[in-house]
Amino acid sequence: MTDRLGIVTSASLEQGVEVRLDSPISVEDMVVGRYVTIEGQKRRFFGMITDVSLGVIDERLKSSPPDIADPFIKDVLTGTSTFGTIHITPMLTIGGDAESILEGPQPVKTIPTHFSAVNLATESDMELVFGKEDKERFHIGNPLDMETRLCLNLEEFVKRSNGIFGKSGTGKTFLTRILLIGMLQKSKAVNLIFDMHSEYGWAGTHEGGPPVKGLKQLFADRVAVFTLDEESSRRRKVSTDFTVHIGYDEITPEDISILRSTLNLTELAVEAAYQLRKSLGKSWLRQVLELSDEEIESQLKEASIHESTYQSLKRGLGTIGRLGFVVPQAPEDTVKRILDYLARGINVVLEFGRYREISAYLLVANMLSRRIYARYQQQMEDAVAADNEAMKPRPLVITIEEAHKFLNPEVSGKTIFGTIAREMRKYNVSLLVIDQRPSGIDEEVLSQMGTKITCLLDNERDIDSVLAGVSGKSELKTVLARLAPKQQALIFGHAVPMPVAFQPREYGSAQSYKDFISAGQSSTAEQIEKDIKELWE
Amino acid sequence: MRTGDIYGIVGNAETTSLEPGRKPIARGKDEATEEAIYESSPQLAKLLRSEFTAVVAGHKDGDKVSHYLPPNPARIHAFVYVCDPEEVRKFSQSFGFLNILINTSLPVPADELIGAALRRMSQAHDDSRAFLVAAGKELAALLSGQYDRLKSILGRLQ
Repeated sequence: MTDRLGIVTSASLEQGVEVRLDSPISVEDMVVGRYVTIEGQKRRFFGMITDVSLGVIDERLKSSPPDIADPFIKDVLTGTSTFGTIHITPMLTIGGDAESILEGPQPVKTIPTHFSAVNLATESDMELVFGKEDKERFHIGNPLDMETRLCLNLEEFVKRSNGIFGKSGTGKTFLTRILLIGMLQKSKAVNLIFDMHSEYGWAGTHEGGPPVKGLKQLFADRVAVFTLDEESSRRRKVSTDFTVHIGYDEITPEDISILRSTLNLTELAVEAAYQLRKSLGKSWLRQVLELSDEEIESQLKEASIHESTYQSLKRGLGTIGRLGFVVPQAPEDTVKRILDYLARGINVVLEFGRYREISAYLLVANMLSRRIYARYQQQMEDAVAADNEAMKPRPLVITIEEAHKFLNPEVSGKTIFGTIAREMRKYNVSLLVIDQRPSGIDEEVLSQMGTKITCLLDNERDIDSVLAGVSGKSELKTVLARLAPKQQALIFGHAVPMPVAFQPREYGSAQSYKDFISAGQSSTAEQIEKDIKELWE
Repeated sequence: MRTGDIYGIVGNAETTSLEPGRKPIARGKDEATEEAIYESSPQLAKLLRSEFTAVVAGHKDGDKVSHYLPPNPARIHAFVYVCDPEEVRKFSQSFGFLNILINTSLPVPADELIGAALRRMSQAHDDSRAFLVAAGKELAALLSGQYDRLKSILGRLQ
């Protein structure tokens, strides 16, 4: 076989498989992260190259190297006295008998025998593991150095909360856009995207190139753009579907409590907010912002809130009150509008426009999600009570950026996102978390994430926290640390049978848009066919 | 060389006097050329004898060449021939004989013998360099623990 790389010379389940390369194969062609198959006696193994090294048969070669000016000596010694070895971490195995072939690849529980042949994984091998593009699987990119299409089962993907990590500028946003399109086309889930930098809705920026199209431009009938900042949207010539306003009475002390560190409030001030809510009722925020200090004094005394605490709280709330989208009385119920759209299967992108400060993002994302989640919970419980599958709400995926602000250990217990991440899909709501500092995210939340996709990370703590609890962690670490700074990512977890380093598919050229749209059309055509069938049943 | 079905590689050669213990005397002090010595003393050709030793390196079994010792020794008075290039090429298709050469004990160092034999065989091949590289690789495998020896043989291959 032309693709043979070498033979297994030693192996252990824990430490992986050592392969001695055949002499014509150059170590320089072996890159970390590539896929190989090992033909064992009774089963095949799939694994990933996680290390490459050089070996010599005699230690003296190292101390007195031969005269390499002579190509003859070099030719003779290459592959005999000196040789390349690769280290493979086996990931999956498939048995030789018919039954296990039907069963598909299973996690690896044993190792190949001595001198089993090792080959580069072929396209059909990859297809066997990751599946072909179909109505559930979406082509997200190519495995490194391979032409094969890497497909992700999105129906499976949206069943859990997921994370996309990577340093700033490594292509997280592009990757997210691709995944959102995938979810939009291949899964039943709808997306609610809190779009901090207005990247997803209409158009996104592209480093060193013209702006790229957003979701709305590609799938106008399935995406609605909501905005907090109508002016900015108009300036960017974005046609928005709804302008979000938040009334004073929609803000609760819980929202304030997660903003504690961003608003620089003391614990006591947050406590005071709860007390004021209790004594002043739903309109507490309006009263705090509008009443003069004298008018509210009696209430403060009653709740035994200290003057300085109150002033600290008032200062913090003033910051919120000054946000343009926070109005005394909201003209329309935003949550209801969002839910209407979501129920119709239309994905909602909420643009923040000029409100890029983290306090606005935290406030809005948390507040809206909490109420949407409450509605989902209610609908789900109703459906369970009525034992009616059709009453269950559509699965919802909420996309949040800067996730470590919501999910750090300090506030993850308080924000709704902590709850969603932990309770997972019980109520058909899951998260897509985008973040550049995964080490800032609560370990418990991180451990509950189904699939993680990570671009290059170089901070040791970030890498550790992303890979926490993954088998073969140290091997994946070498792969992760060697990803290119752009457009390469490592995916592992629930939705993929084994970790794989890949290059996300192209996004931004006219052809790529066409491919994205056509991938959806075929599934719509199938959907129509299915609908017609169901109609006549 | 070949005798019957047995292939050998010449490992030593000497010319001595017919009578054991009697050493040839230096001649030709007044002659102009070496040939003239034999012309003036024609008896020399009868008094001196050349002998060579060959290391048995393999044998032919039907059409198959095996690189290990034959079941029977060469017969007395069997005729000995020099192998033609075609035979050499056939014999050196694989390198099993190298192991015999490495372990042989002769008056000449085995390393010299291997070097000379391979150099000569390479002339019978169209791509003599590829042949030498392949032979070198085989040697590298056989002499995996003896890097210095390998290095000295490789130095003699060109």
